Amino acid sequence: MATASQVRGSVVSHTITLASLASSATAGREGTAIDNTTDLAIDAELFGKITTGTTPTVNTSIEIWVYGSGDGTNYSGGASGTNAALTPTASTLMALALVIPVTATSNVTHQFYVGSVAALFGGILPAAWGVFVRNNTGSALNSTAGNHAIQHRTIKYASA
Amino acid sequence: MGALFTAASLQAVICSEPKLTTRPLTIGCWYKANVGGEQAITVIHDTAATQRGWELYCHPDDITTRLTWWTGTATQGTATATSTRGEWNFAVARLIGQSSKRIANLYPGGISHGNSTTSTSPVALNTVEIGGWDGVVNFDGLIAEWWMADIDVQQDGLQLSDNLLRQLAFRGPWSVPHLVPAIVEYRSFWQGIGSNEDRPGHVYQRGGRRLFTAVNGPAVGEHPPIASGYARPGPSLKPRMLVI
Repeated sequence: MATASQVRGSVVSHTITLASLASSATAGREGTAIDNTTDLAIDAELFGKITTGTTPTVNTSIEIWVYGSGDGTNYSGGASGTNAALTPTASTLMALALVIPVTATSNVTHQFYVGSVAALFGGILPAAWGVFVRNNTGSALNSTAGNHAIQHRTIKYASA
Repeated sequence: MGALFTAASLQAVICSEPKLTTRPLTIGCWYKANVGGEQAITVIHDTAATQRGWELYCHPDDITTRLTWWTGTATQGTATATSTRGEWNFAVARLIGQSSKRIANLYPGGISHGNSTTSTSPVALNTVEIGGWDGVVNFDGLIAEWWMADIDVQQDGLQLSDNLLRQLAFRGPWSVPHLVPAIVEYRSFWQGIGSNEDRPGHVYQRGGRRLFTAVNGPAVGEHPPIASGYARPGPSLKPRMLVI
């Protein structure tokens, strides 16, 4: 009898500048899009870490959104697919993956695990996708690049 | 998409046969109010000449949202929370007991709580109105993911847990197991406003259908920033994968 199992790819670190990301209720930072038109992964598990800055406002939050593309060229929510500042045309055109509530303690590293990216899009991993992070904590994120990371691993299925 | 109300057009959504008008009672919804004047988010009222009722509303100070009993001439026992105009907020209003009402509001600046221990003795009420009060204090902005439950969602009657508030906001009332059997009304305003536009999975009414009538044409507008896994009533329609 055949057995189905997962095949996990290597950890891929996204290109997105989160160090010193300013606080805003509207603007944030998008990361470079991940191209899935060649690899054709079934899914991807998304995870990483984000570190708050100096004395964030308690009970505010950091939002992690995921944008998608069906053609690998045009991205949802006005994203460009590059590592750049972004004020989405409408953030609800992206998929809200996670909301990280913060305390007033400075420089706290939040390890997060979103899990399935495909599930954010109704079960289908887009042809291209990327992450948009919005910091609405009242203070800029930690200034050290190494204190932030957005990463994923692709998932495929094998039958043996 | 949320329900887009234009105050100048006296738009609202009205149910004249509500199933739930008495305590304990919890109301939850996302809202995004424009600046200016008193704006009713949800009112449970009577239709007597001097109208009385429970009112969840955006205060004219443009920085607070409040829950109060309106006696017909004055407010009585007001719970107040900080809110932000022009941005999405999520409020949970709780009518707990005769001397207890609470409000919790998630807004871009954080979380705010308010409570009132003023004794209130409401009269019999016969109308639930979203976005207005009989043609006055009409809402100007968006309301979405609106629900009512016949329990106090915070089972100990104390200040709403911040984690529970976020769970309700981003994952929805259907993601809270102890709340699910107590939900009486749920309207997402995702695709339709009044009962003539109801869609499976976006409307729930316990114990039978009650008409919610859209008055003066509120439209479908922007939806709040809910998580992709926001729970909805009914079976999941997400595709399943078969691996062979």
